[in-house]
Amino acid sequence: MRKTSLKARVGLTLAVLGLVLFPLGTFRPNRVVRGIPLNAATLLEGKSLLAAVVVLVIAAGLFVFRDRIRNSMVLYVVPWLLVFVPGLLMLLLSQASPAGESFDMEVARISLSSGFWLLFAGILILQSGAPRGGILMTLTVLFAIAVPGVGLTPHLALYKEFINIEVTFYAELRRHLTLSLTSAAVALLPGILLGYVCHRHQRLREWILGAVNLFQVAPTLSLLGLIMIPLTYLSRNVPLVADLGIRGVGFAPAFIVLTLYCLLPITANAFSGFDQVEAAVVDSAVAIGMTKRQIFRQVLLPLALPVIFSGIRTAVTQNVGNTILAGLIGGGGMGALIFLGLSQSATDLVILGTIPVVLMALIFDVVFKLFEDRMTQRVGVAHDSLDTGI
Amino acid sequence: MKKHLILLVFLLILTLVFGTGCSQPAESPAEAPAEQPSEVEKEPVVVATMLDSEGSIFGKMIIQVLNANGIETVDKVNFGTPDILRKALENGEVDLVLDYTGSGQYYHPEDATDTSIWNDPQKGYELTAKLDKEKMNLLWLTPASANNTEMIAIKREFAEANNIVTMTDLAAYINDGNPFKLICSAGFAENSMGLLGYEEAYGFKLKDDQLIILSSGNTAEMLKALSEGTNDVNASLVYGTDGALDKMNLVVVEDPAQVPPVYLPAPVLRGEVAESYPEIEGLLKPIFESLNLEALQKLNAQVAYDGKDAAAVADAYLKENGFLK
Repeated sequence: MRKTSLKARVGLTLAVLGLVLFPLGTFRPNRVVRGIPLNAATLLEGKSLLAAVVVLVIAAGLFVFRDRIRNSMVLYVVPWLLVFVPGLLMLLLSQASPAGESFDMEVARISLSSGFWLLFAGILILQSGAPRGGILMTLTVLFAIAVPGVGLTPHLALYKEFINIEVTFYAELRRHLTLSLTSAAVALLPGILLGYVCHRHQRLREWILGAVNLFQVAPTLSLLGLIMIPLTYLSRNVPLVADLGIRGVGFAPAFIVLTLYCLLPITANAFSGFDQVEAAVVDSAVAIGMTKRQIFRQVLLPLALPVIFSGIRTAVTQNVGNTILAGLIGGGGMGALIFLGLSQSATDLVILGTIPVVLMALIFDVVFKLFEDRMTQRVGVAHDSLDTGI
Repeated sequence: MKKHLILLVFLLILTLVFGTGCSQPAESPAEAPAEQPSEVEKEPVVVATMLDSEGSIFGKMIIQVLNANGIETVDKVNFGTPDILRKALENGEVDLVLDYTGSGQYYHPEDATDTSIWNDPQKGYELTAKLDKEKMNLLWLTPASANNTEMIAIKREFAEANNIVTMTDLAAYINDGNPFKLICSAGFAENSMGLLGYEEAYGFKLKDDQLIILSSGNTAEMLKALSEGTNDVNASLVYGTDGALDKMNLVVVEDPAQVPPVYLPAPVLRGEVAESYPEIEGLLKPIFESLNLEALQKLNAQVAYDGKDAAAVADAYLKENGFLK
């Protein structure tokens, strides 16, 4: 109970800070100039919607400190009502415009600012402490995406950026997913085998773990630069390589580097997964006459699977983020949007490119975690302290 | 236990198939360009540009014009950084790119020892075109007459208050010990055809504390700093065709000595592709000739500052000027 109320308090603090101290949005006469901050006070004039938001946050306060006042059941409705707050706030901000001047609304736009994001984060943290927190948080995020998604917020900067690049957006999103998932999948088999070799041969262990560690500590960008040199050479001099579509830039180098990056979490986890299987179990398998292959397939692998799986989870989640760098070398993905935004100093385009990456990483993490928990349950051993990956 | 394994493998295969399956339409023309035998003789032209607003506009224009004239294209607009784009062109991963004539000095440094050539728009273009044709079989088509070179921008009010029009005026202002702070890229600050060249030509010298040097050549950040006066910045590196000049009320300090190299934007086409599509040169020529500095600044401003879609901006320009119906 104490942990829950701590989350709720942290969340409430963030939400109130965001609402009171920081501007919720910024009105920009065009895409790049510094805009006019819109804070809650300026928005409040005659806006019943914002008043409702404020009331809800106050209600959230009552919810958080419910044990000090009467712990009424009614208060448990509050986290559910908070689901709508970020979405409604976007709706409201989209209609805002500074008084006194007229702007070309084709060009002018409203960006979401620190206050909004703080409030958003605060609400999510508060909800995570409430009963059915996962569902609440999911609903909040979905509602916040749905409001601009159905076109209710025409002047929101994120929405304008999205409309501009809608076609490219989905194409890049697909590339991003393909690149990060396939490169992780390709690392799977070698990763597990390397982990097994580490488990079997003490001598090789240091070398293998050292090598995969090396890939991990090399900065991704410089690894990309390094891999381009041999690939360019190969594609120019070996016709087969060029015919396969492998060139010094684009998809191939990004794919290779991402695969190398996935090796460490998978190998390290596979190794510790195999290693933590008790010797007695293996011995008894030997005693009943199982062959090496049978032991691997029927004893070692199933018992190590939960740990291996947590390595895969780490690999996929980190891969989704790393794939951004492919945008720099013609590999596409959300990185292409992010770097375009950076080059134009268009913060909203950068945010638009980042949000899907964060969401994808979170979704993969949650989904894989579910599988992992299920597997751990079936195996019947607790592996919680063996997250050796990262 | 076996069941779970099968399930796991099945799931992974599913993700794989889903992942690759989804991407087929976007990926296939780019990844396996040379695989079908000569059933279809003419492959689509892969058009790629740099990661900036000018690259988007030119890229979309080229694609629209080629498509309107029955040439199939693959859209790789905003492909990557300049060096990546050049590599991709040399490797044949892309067929048609937008590049800048002055870049020839970096592509063929051994033949670019006479730096004065790069200050002349025509000679610079001819030398780059000649070297690339001979060594790389790359064709430089007609460039636009808009010099997208490195210049120094100041605020209009600042220029008027201190009577600064040319670099000579600016040098005098600096030498009088007035407050001055320039924000620029490392490449510009350390280049003998950049800041060092300016200092020599106009006789001034900036102290270390009068410079803010960023590692990248991203002028958007610099101009933001200039327009907002961050850290007392009152001058910034700018590229000639940048749309910010008009929008942010900035002016370029004139450079009568023509210190930096001339960078004219031009389409660069692979020789082999030019053979199968000889008409491309003629299609693009009138469009590039029509684009001068002012026109390009306006188009860039629409994309970078008004946040309009590059394809729409390109389409509107082509239609207004009668290149597209």
